[in-house]
Amino acid sequence: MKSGSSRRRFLAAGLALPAAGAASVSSAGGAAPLARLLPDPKTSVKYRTLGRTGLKVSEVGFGCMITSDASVIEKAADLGINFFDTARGYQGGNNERMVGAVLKARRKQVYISTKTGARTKAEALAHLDTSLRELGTDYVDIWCLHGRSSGAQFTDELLEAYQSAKKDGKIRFSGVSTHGGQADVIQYAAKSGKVDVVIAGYNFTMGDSLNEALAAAQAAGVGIVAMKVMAGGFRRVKPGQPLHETIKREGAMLAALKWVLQTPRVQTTVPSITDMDQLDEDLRAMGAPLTEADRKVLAAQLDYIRPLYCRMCGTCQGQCPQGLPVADVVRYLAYAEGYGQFALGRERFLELPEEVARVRCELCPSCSVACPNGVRVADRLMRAQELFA
Amino acid sequence: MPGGSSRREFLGGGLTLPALAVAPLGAGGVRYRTLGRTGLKVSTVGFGCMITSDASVIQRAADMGINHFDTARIYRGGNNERMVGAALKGCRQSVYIASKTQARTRQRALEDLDASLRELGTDYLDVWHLHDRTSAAELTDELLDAQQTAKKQGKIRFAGVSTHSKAEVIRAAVASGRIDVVLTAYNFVMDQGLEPVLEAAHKAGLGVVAMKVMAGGYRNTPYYPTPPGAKARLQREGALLAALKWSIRDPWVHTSIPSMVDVEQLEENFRAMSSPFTEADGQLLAAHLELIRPLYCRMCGSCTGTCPQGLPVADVLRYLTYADGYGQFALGREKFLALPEEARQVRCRECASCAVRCPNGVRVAERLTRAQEWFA
Repeated sequence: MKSGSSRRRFLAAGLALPAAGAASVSSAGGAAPLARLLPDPKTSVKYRTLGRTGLKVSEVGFGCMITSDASVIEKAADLGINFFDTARGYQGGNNERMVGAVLKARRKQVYISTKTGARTKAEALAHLDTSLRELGTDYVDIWCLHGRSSGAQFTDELLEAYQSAKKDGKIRFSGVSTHGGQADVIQYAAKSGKVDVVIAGYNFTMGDSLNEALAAAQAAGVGIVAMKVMAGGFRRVKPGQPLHETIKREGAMLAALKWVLQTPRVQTTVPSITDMDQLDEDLRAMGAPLTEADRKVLAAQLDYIRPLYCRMCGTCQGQCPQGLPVADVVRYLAYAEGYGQFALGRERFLELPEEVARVRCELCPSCSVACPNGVRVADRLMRAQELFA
Repeated sequence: MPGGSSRREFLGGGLTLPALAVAPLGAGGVRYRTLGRTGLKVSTVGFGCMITSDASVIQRAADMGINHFDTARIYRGGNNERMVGAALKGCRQSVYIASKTQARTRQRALEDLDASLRELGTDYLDVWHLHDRTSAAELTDELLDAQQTAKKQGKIRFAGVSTHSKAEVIRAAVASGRIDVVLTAYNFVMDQGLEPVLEAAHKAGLGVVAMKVMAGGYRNTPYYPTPPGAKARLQREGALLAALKWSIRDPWVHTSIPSMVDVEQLEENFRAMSSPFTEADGQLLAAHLELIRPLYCRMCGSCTGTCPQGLPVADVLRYLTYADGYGQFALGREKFLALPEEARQVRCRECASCAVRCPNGVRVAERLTRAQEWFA
């Protein structure tokens, strides 16, 4: 095992200085796609201060949920990206292990956020211990309650869990993630003083709808991390379909990321990155202005995804007489079709309560759910049922 | 997808004017071979769907004229068949679908088959494999009978067996007279002893399908120091493309089924059908072999039973390759965690020295330790 551990040390040495690592991409045996990527990567990475946490986070962080190739995460860290987001529940519990293994040698140079879906203090703290074990670390930088949609969900016992974990040194800062009721959750964080960081779904389809909440967060020193910045991805407009050439050529995903980075109220973003090409593209968003051409591309992309993509405005909540959680099902379908993660979409669908998973929209003569943003709700739900049920 | 199927018929029909029929990388480059006595005309590059998560890549491959798609009941926790079926639904008649069962009894096998058909949304499989057999004894009469029953019921067209390159299994498949297709691991790093076995299978009329043709991938592997410039050269010139061409070059390999996760990989692999294997490709593969020598298990079997702790060494190496070669961490970990408890608990660093000798230069102890660090 000697050679093993010495190799580990070799790796660790190479990774101790992210900036130096970045400068020596080619000699580290870096992947070719990166060779053309940045004349000088370290000058391209820009950092912002994540609210009152004081953490200097790269404007482009790394959403690890659907990444399966650990070397992409490693390369991102080499290049100076320092914010990595995972969760206890991702990839059947395997995502934290991968993220931890790959970042272990440079734990002190990076920030890791993870999340728990727990609803009780005891369960949350048990999850946290599992997260630390799986990540192979003593602490997480930001520990989030996962997927909350209102201020009311911050129960006293969960707030106690934050405090207890902070006191034990297991977490540095408290956080929450939200993709539904974001404004309410952000306002809660701003007013209560109990939540240091909010990870919110935020992208070009949302226009200025979150501006007021984001301003309140900024004033209160709450750090904002934007997720779902690419509005479901949908990067694969098929050849021959309208808009294919425009969107493909001009880089709608890059433009989407630049759109989010325009506002200083967002300090970092966590796009999913699954391969070196995507990493290459996303890095270019830092320090790049949103141009008129970008706006045109985003307008075209919005036209393309309008019937497909749920903006999480919450209007449809409770409208389905069969009790379908419409926004969730539309999101699961976007995992399959937009993100290109079929199994993820199906797994989420199959976790729905049985009475909901059994609903078949084709049995309704007409659909009473009206999306104000033009999603063809009935079509999408039927597609999800056909693909997943 | 009515448009899809008519385009497919056109493709099958002649390929004379590909540029008009399909998008840029169209059918001009597709080559077909006959899959032994099945008579199926399969594209020389097929599609291994195991790790694909984006259904649109499969659809695009079918649009381009690739017609052999391989999945299995157990892939992706049972979700892979559903995706493959949904992606190919509009062109079922013009493609061939192979799936597999790991079952060891007739009843379980036939239950698996019904589940596969339901998940794929089809009435029949073109090829139904017994999944991952490691010895001739595993081709039991009971299972071969189950395949014949399924054939009579019209649920499958042809019977197959898959193996990670065990010559014994391929020979037994030939001898059985009841297996139509063998699916085997086969690539440029392997023992040349397998070639005559495949040739014999081909001559006996079996269809031969090659998997693992890229020897673990390792597209992004920076773990070992390599000669200056070597890695960049390998990437630029396409060692993986060369590996696929190496496999296609053998006339007794009727189709090869590399994994493909995105359109870029699809487009690269597609080119292999119309590109000859060159001297430069041979040099690339020699360099690539040096890179992966310490990492990649060739599945020769010589380490079987040599670990005093009872570790299934080749399997653990393969699971690690899923993570750091294929870039599929969760897959590798899930497989590892499915090992028997006593194997999962072994920690190689507690052995003073390692008794396992790899004749091909894999740094066994180091690799196993890494697997334990990552997965256990």
